[in-house]
Amino acid sequence: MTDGVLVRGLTKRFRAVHALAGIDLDVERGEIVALLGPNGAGKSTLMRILATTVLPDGGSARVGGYDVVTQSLAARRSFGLALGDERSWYWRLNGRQNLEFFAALYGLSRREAHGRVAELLAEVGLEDAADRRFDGYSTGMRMRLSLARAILPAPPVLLLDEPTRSLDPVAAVAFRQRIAGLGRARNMAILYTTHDLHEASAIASRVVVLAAGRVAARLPGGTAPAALEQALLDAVGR
Amino acid sequence: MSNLRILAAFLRRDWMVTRSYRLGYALGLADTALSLTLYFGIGRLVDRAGLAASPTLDRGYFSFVVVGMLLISLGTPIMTTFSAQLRSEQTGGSLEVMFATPASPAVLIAGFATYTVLQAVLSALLLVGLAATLFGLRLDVGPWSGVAAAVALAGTLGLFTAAGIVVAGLTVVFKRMDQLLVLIGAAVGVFCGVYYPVDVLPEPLRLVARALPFTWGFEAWRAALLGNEVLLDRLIPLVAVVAVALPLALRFFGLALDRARRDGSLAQY
Repeated sequence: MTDGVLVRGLTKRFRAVHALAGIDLDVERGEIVALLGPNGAGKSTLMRILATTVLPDGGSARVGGYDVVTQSLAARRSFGLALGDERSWYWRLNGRQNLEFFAALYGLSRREAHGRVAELLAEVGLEDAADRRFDGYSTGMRMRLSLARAILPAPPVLLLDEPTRSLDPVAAVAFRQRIAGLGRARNMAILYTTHDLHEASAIASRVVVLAAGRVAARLPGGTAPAALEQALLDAVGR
Repeated sequence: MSNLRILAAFLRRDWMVTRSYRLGYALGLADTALSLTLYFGIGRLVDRAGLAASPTLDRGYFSFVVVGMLLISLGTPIMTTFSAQLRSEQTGGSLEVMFATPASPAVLIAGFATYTVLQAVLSALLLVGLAATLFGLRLDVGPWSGVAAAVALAGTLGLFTAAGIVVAGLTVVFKRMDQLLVLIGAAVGVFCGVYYPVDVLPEPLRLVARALPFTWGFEAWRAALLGNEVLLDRLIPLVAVVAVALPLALRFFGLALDRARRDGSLAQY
């Protein structure tokens, strides 16, 4: 059994909409799996089920070896989450204060949090901006802070939902290089949703294409963006 | 230990955020002083007109109302803070991230209120201090009535807390519930003997008032602080109701969270 991500027959329905219609997916430690798909394909629903903030209707999902429904507390200790949404911060606090608050939610003492946060801020290149208020951060800095928060608990699994959505191309390249480096250094299982075919091609060990809540294609890492585009178009029947 | 760390982290966070809006403090202080002056004036009028025939008013209307205001000034912020903070986390986008951490929902909901409780206690002390120094408020409390006042305080604040947690649960599911809090606050003010004795209400409303546990809390609190009395017939049922209401409120909040997780609406606002 993997201590990365293991999904079997996962289903989720929101009223008449089948968001997930029986997904199977594995992400092993040391792998980066890119999740591609058109809007409404079920990518974010899958991420939120793995993050325990949405309950599935059927099937099973394990993160870090723990079932996300029946062992949700243990599962929450096993993943870090970064959403492309940059709002999830306290804008009148600085970067360090924000991270120290979330460190407490992961059970770190003040002393532990202080050291860990300093280490992570350096790791994501924000040590010079640590004491600047969050509302003075650029979009790229905000995403790097989100990444620092995601790896605060030193999790075996990293869930990244469109983390480069708001970044310019240069910042996006730097960000995904950082992710790839982190994944290798920490031997993490990384599930990464994106709409950027170049990004998926560059970063992923494997690419999974979702459409209408199903896995439409599984492709190896390094698949050319043109081939990914074709797989996407095939998935939506064009 | 870990739970205390989380509460301390909420306290630090909210203190830092509040500190960044300095003007709010000064305005709050001015508001307290103005309210006291208003009720001092009304008190002089009521007392001079000989309207204080009710035994509960024999210490004067000003003392009566200040003691009521003291309790409601503690209870209302505590009641409203759960859903206000939750709503703020919802709209700020941090709620989903917070509920994806290993911190338990019960501790998170307690964290929402930590700073507000401390701030409300300080405001209440300020209210008593101003009322005593500027307007001559005198309390009459003995050892047993002091214990009774503490029980009435804990019980009444327990009721406010339970109501606040239930509304927070409704906020998780239905998002905007501010009006319900306004309604509950107004109902407590009107029916529960905060600003006048419930005896002055017309018969049907008096029966409603007497049936509300908030009224038992306000009456026991006021009798303990102003009359050195222990109203066991109010305190015992109050404690019993709170002992049932608080766990039920937490359970309700848990069910509301589960429903939002099923609906996929936790992050929506």
